[in-house]
Amino acid sequence: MTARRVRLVAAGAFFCGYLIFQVVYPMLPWFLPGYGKFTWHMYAARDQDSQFAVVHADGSRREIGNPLKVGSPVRVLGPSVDQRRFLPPWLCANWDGAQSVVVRNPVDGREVVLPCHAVAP
Amino acid sequence: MSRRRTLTSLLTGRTPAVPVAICRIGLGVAAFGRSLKTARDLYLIQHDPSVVPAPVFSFPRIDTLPEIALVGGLGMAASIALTVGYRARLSAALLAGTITFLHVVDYNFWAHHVYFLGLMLLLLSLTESDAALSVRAWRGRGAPAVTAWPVLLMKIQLSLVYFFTGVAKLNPLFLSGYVLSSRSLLPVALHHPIVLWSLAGAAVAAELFLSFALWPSRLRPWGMLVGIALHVLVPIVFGLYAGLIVFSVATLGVYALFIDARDLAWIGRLVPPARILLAASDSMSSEPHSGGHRA
Repeated sequence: MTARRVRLVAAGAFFCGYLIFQVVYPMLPWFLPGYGKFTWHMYAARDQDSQFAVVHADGSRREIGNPLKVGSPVRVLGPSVDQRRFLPPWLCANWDGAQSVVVRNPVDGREVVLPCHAVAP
Repeated sequence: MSRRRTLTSLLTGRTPAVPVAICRIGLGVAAFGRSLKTARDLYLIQHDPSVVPAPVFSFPRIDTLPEIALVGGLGMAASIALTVGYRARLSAALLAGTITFLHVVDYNFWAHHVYFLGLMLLLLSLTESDAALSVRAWRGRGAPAVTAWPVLLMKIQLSLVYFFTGVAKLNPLFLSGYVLSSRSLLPVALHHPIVLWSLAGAAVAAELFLSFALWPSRLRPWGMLVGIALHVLVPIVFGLYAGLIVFSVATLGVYALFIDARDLAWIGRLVPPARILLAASDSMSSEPHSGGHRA
């Protein structure tokens, strides 16, 4: 096999492989609701900007809001960070006096309370 | 047999160098902006107590200032080299590699614009994007045409991005205007349901239109117009975030790949400075510079 032929075969394999992957893989969320890694869904309302709050030992509650929004005292730098996975343990470990973290769905208002002893980092 | 011949001609085909060079410059500028943000974000993740780290694995980590400076500096240097067309293949490959590496460092670097930029840079590294409007061309080693198949993949990729994003927005929550009301900077006076529904519908229509409109020459001017309006308006409506600006610059750079010879003549008639630039680039691509070296 000549070098030119090897290059052609490699280019053909890359071309077809790339195209098949980029056409088929982003269809995954159509069949697996909630799946979104390396697929295209910018500003498509897949993530509903969960709202967070910290509850202290005395029962007082401090609203954190969403860490992607300006004005939140806590920040994440990318829209693909799984906030429900990373934020509660971080708040429990770093927020003075945090006893539990409340995660609220902004669309239906439902709240989930995560006690800090259950979400240790 | 004929299918094989078609594939061979596709893989050996050439495409004009100037649009690819314009795309290279756009991606280089976008990569520079992204590299600045990467350096800043790496610093913030380690040193700002209000930023939540989201490591993908326990290793690798970029913690110290020299490590941050190395990653950020490498990205910025490669972006500048890519923009001016100096060792463009190596620069694009380095940038694509850096972006891949950042994806295993922290989820804070996972963003659509980063992934898109990484894919475009990977594909750009497979063609001779510095054959025109570049240091290489200035030295007399330019060429009027470059390998076409990576360029074709870049164009297809852009269309796929528009298509899948448009389809993803076909959900009741987006179409209700929720995203526009909750995440945009639209004045409250425009938060009327009819306005929000209309804008949401227009956004989906624009993205689905762009998934094919850049291909046929009759639709292309409209596609370009809608695309430019979309990518200028989105950072204004949602806020001038670095990610949105980088995505817009990168995307509009890729638009250049859809420009064919007829479009070039049209642009040259419309914008005289562009005609001068293209003529100069053509002469540099075909004739060695008096002080330059031939490959």
